[in-house]
Amino acid sequence: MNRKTLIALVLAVAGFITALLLPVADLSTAGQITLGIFLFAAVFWVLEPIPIYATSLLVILLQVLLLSAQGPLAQYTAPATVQPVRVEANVWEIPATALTDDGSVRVRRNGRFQAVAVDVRETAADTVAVRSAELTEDSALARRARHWQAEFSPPSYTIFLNTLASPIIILFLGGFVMAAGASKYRVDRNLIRIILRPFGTRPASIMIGMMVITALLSAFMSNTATTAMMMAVVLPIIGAAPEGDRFRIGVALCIPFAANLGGIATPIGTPPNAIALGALAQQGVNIPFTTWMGLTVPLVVLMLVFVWFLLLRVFPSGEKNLALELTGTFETSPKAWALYIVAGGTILLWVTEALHGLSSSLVALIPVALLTAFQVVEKKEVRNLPWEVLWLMAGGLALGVAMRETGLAEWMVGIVPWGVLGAAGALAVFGIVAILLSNFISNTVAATLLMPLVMSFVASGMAEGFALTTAALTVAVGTSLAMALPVSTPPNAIAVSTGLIRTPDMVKMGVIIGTVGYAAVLAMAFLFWNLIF
Amino acid sequence: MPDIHILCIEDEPDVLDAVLRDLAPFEEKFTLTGAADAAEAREILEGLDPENDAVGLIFCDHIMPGQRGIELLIALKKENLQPLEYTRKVLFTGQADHADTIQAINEAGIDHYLAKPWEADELRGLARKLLTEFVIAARIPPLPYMAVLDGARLAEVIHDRNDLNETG
Amino acid sequence: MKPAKDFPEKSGSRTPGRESLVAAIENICASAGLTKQHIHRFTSGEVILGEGTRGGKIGLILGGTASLVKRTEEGETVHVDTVGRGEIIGLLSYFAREINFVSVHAADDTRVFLVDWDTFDTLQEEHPELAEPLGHLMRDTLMGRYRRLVRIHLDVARLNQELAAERSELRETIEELGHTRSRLVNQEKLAMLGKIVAGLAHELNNPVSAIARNTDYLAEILQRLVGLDPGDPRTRWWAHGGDNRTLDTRAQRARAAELGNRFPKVSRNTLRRLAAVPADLVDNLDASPATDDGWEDWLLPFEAGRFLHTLRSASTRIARLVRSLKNYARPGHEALESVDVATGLRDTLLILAHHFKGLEVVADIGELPYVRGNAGELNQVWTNLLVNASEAMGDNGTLTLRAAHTDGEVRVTIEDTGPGLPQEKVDTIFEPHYTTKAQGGQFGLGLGLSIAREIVHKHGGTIRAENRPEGGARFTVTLPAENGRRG
Repeated sequence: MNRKTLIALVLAVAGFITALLLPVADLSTAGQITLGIFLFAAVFWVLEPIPIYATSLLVILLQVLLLSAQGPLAQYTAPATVQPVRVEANVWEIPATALTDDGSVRVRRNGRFQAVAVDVRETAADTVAVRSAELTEDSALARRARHWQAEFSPPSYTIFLNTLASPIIILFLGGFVMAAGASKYRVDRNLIRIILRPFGTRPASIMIGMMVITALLSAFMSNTATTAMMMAVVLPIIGAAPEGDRFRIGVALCIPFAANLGGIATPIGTPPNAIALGALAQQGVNIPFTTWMGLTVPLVVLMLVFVWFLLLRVFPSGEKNLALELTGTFETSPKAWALYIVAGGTILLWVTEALHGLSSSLVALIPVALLTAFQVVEKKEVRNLPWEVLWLMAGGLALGVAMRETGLAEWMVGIVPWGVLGAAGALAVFGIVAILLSNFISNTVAATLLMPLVMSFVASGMAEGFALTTAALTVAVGTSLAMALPVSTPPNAIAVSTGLIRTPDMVKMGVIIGTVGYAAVLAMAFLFWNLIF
Repeated sequence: MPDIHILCIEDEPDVLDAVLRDLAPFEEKFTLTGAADAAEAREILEGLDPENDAVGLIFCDHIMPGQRGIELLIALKKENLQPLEYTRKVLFTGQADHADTIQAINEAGIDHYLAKPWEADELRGLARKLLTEFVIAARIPPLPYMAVLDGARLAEVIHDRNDLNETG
Repeated sequence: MKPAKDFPEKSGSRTPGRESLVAAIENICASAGLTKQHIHRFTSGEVILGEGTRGGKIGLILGGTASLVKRTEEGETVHVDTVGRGEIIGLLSYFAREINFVSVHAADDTRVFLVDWDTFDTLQEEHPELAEPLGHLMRDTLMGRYRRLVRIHLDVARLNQELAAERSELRETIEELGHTRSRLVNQEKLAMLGKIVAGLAHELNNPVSAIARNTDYLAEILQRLVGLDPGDPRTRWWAHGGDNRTLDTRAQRARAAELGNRFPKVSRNTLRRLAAVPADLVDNLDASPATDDGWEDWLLPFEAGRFLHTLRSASTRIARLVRSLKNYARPGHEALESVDVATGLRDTLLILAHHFKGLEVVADIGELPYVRGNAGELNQVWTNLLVNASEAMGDNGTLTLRAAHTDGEVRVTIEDTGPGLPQEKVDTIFEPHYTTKAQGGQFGLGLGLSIAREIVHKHGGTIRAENRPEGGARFTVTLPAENGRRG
């Protein structure tokens, strides 16, 4: 075990234990356990002693063990119950411990403890007499009202496991399967050729062309895969440009930036979108595919144009023309046609959700089922799907579930004096935290950590005048705008690895884009998104 | 990230010097080592740590005192040392007759012949190509090597393997 | 062709002489008045009996000669025999009652008693006195024919013998011719190669001189360009670049590791280059740089000095090789000249140096007199013996070359530490058929020991092969020294 792993482990365990021992009156024991898991996961996600998807699975495991009704903790610490002793009509004698500070008792109904308010009539040494119309002689009261399971009824473990196959995960799976097929039949490469051709040979046109195709592909495929493929196509081209031409830097930068931005444009573009959609769904808000696009595409277009101008200005080309020689043909085998039809149909169904009402997750099952049925995507490709991305997101979703269920999210929101900032200010803070945080850690993790807080912030009523959707979008989009460092996103890492870019170039451009993007997101939030919801 | 070695075996010190100098651009990412003969090469290889070291490329002169280049490479191939599992091999020679050539290809698994005198660009281009193949074959994460090796091919590999994605 | 001797024409038979028999028949015919009817005259070339025709005739030659001719299957006519007075013709077909086996042509004016078979029989009945002489003549004819047949068989057998002898003689001659031809071709090739190599060596001289000269100029110019004044400590680094390398690769690696500990911020590349610098230069700096850029200021002059030195020594090496090559492969002159064997041996050693990698080469070449002969050919002998010796040893062993002057002779011995010669072949090793490997040698250098021997003999010398008691083979060549001239 190296030092970093050791430090992470010590910190994570310390965080976990601190959370449990924290003398907090207004947070339930279950909330403390969840806080412990939250801190543990946060440390592991940030310091990465193990892969972040492994941390996600660890989160689910810990939740199943510590928070679910079937978990050993709940099993072995089931609260003892007592029956009220009738004193007179509607007046019952109960143990003093069964009464909470706010004058209620916990009565088990259908396996869960519910709070029942009572009037306290008389207090003895260790019993109290209470008046309540709801109690009967058969009522099972928690002997200790502060028992953690009396305050919080552990949910079934399936609520955590279900995140592994939640609709948003299935939506991504659909995207992954289509991307695998597209990659196998080189649809992505052929699209580059077709889309890039009308942009001519002027360097500036070629740059925006590359940005458009990159953004377009990364809206439906993984940002990383898109960047890697674009680099494979582009490196030989810009390798031919003169050694000192700064335009090479511009091109090498425009691709990861466009890929990061393109991921914003659709629900399946990048995992933080899934975290946002998942959190919204838990709050009962369902955002159709096209609605998401309608909300984000204007921002993406705006940012693409801005990045284009910025890069052209900073890295102008010394050449008048750049030769682009892209060759290739679309495959016309029956399987390839099956892919074109299924993928085209799926995207069509996604963008026409308003007409037919089939949810995008439901539609996403079509390519999963059909492409495997037609064996367009075979065992080899199935095995090669980025399952760990799905697990990472599931862990994030599961943590969000627990934070909401145990009241942790609400509690955490409550410990910050948001009143000072006002709703708008608070949203601005969430946005900037999202951008800053995800420059250093995985975008998905940043969204995972922030999303439950934002959701409960808005749901708690503190953010008056702000829709849940606006808040979720602000955080999700904010994480995708982080591209200042090579470690910010895998596309950035690939671009720097080519050796064409020096890190300072990326930092300068990334900081400008982050700043401008942040302003644009806030503008969108206040002037556009919030007006719709 | 494993320590990838480039080993050059050449008995003429001046020639070895020139080869090492030509390969210096790779030294940023690879460990560049020169050996004067087969025995010394063996010494170096046996000192490698199978956990952390891998030999990416061997440039080997053929006519040397002691064991000749082809014989060394054949022996190494038979021994199957772990750091040499995916090693690319170049026979570096002023002269080799037909029989030697056939033997080299059949038994020693030579990837390339480089005739002396060589051009620096030719040597570097060859090293770049073979090291790229090595990184791919050995399934070493390609990202750190994109700048010094064939970036486009490695980008392709990253894309095809799908093993660097949003979680990373 | 000599006739077979031991078959006398007359075997001393008891039969009366042929002439008296014929005369008797002539008399009987004349007296019986048969002459006119049965004795025919033929002129030269006329057919008396036709081959293959059912002539049904039998005759007795009374005067002149006739040829027996047989047509072969190929349609040629072959002369079988010549018959004269007293011989019966058409005898076989008469007895067998068959078509004529051979045809009979008159060779000059010929008189023949010629009758058909029936008449022949009738005549004998009518004139019983004819039967006896005719019977004698028939028997005589048959015996003569048989005798000749036996003689022919004997001739054929003798001819076959002679033919076989001639054929094997011919084969040897052809073989000899082949050897001579390949030797000539080899010599021709060598002469051609010699010309090409000599021309090439001449051509190489110019670029080599240019490299050597320009290296010196470049050194001067560089020194002035970088403006190192003599007091600058870096001039020492520049100057020491030309020092002979003090550390081998092993030691350099250890040194690089040691330097790495001392200068942790310095890159591997710089450390490796620094390890080649003499330790006292690096260790005695007043203030050691800590970074790559700092070291670069010192390494650049050192390396420039070293590369210049390398250039210089490389060009010297090429120049030496070119000179040897020119000597070694001088175009072969037919005319004899005074040959310096010592130089020839040294050049050959230099040119074959790559062949001896891994071998220990001991050369002990004393002061030698000149030898009358052909330098190129003698170099071929040395090449042949040296390449054989090195190939017998593979990649390790000791190759010893000694050349000394003893008793008006130059004696050259070449010894190896290989497996030695197979004992049964020591004596035949110089025979043309003896090969230990593919003829011509791996690099086209060896011409075969038989040619080596031939060249040595041509120079009036001797060549000998033997196994050394301590193992390995020894070849000894002696050549008569040229009178009064010292090499």
